[in-house]
Amino acid sequence: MADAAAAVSRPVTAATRNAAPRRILLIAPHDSYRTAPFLAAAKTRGIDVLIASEAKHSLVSAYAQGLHLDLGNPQASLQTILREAKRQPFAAVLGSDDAGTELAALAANALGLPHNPTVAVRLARRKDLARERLAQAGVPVPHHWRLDLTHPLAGQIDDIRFPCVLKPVALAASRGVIRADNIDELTHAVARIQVLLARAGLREAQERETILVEEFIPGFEVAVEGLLTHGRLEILTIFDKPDPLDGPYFEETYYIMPSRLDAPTQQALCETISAACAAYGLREGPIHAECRINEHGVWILEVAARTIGGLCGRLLRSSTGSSLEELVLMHALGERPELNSEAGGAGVLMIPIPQAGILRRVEGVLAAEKVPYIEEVVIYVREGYELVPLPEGASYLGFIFARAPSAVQSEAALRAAHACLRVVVMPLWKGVSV
Amino acid sequence: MAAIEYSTRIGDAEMHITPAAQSQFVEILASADDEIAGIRVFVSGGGCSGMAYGMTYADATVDKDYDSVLEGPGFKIYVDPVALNYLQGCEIDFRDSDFVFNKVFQAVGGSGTCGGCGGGGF
Repeated sequence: MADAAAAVSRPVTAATRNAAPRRILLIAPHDSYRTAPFLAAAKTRGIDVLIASEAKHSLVSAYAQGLHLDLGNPQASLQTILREAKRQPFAAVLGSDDAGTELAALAANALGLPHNPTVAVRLARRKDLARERLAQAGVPVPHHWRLDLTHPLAGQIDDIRFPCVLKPVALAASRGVIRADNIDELTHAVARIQVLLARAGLREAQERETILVEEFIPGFEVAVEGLLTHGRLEILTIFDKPDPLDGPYFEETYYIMPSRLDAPTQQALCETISAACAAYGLREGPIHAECRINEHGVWILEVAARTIGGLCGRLLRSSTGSSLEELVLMHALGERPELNSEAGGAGVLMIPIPQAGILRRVEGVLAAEKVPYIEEVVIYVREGYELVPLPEGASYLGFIFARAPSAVQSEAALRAAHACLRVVVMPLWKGVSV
Repeated sequence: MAAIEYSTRIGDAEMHITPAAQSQFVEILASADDEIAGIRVFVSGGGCSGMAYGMTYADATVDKDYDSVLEGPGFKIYVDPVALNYLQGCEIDFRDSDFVFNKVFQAVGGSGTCGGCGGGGF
């Protein structure tokens, strides 16, 4: 953990803040949900954000005119970033998604900017390594096993307890996460995940060849957004996930805030997530945690060193008066906006993909938007594009946002709006080219 | 100036459908709703992982001036002009539960994993 010891957080004083450039480098994949909200936040707050990506030939100007990197070559990418910083300095370097957080930490370290240790960020990104680290640190984790796909399964699965959940070690958004209740289901799930891993574009062989298996944890699930400053965690919001997530796939649907958990449970949640951050060595910037709560306490599913995805950051306006991306950018600059909490509740539905195929059209959008307390219905997939449901899929059909006098009313509005939608899907027959 | 004639009929030299594929198309269309006009063959991708070829239903809104059509016994295949360029001379077969596109344009090399050709997510 030499890297963790070497990590420093630059104290931000009023003098340095006034002298420092308000310029941030954001390392973002070309298809990130988060890029647009970050750019909007930067515009709102008058912050200069340069996008670094692999999308040299993108039709989107922010990518095409940004910095171009090869994420498969961190050292070359680091040199590119350092050259740009020499030309015009950055006040911070952030990674919008898991793919860029390690490089962001590496670059911030080289530039002497506040950062997380790269080891910590790697732990936060790799589910198998994270489990081991949490267990070492005494943070409760379920029984878990690591399957090496380069070796026969026989001999690796004898001790596995059921029900269990299989997870790729380096994918997000429930992609490839499958519950198995017996050996047959486990074997089938392994084969399915293996195909997914081969096509997922993961650069590291170990990430393509490893599956984490852990005992299924029953309970109520929440997502938590927070900000770390010098290792201290500030909870920005807790999202309740009111629908049970018992598998076989774990599709995110409703996120509702404020949380209806009682104060002692929220406190326990905060303490457990703080312990996980400390175990990884995370010290600076945004964290997104997923946890389950049952009679045995709080269980960490993951703590990622990034924000939530899926356009959900805008919901924080209810609890803070700013979008999540505004808070993260300002935090990176050592600035703090006034937090203005609005009364009432808010929520989002990540619209599930009902079936695989080609999206023909979504009917009922206008009716859904007319449901009281619905703010917006966003259909993210364009007509004529392929729909891929979980566990193979990596994106949602769209989002419905609600704001209401209470969390209960927000949730009811989202359910009513979703009931208005009819998704028309055409079958897809994929050709094999020879 | 005389108008240029543009044929929207696909000949066998442009796209050949094997008997096995023809049978499959007939079977697929037999179970389709009345609003379905035929099968649309399309091309997608074009990045470092190469072109992808697929098919879906073509509904009654097909553009008869724009789409080219291949008409066989009990089925119609619709292809837009851009896709047809990539499909010139191809053969569509059906083997082992898969539609197989023979003799089609393919990219050479490439990892299939880069983001360089992505169009962005917003």
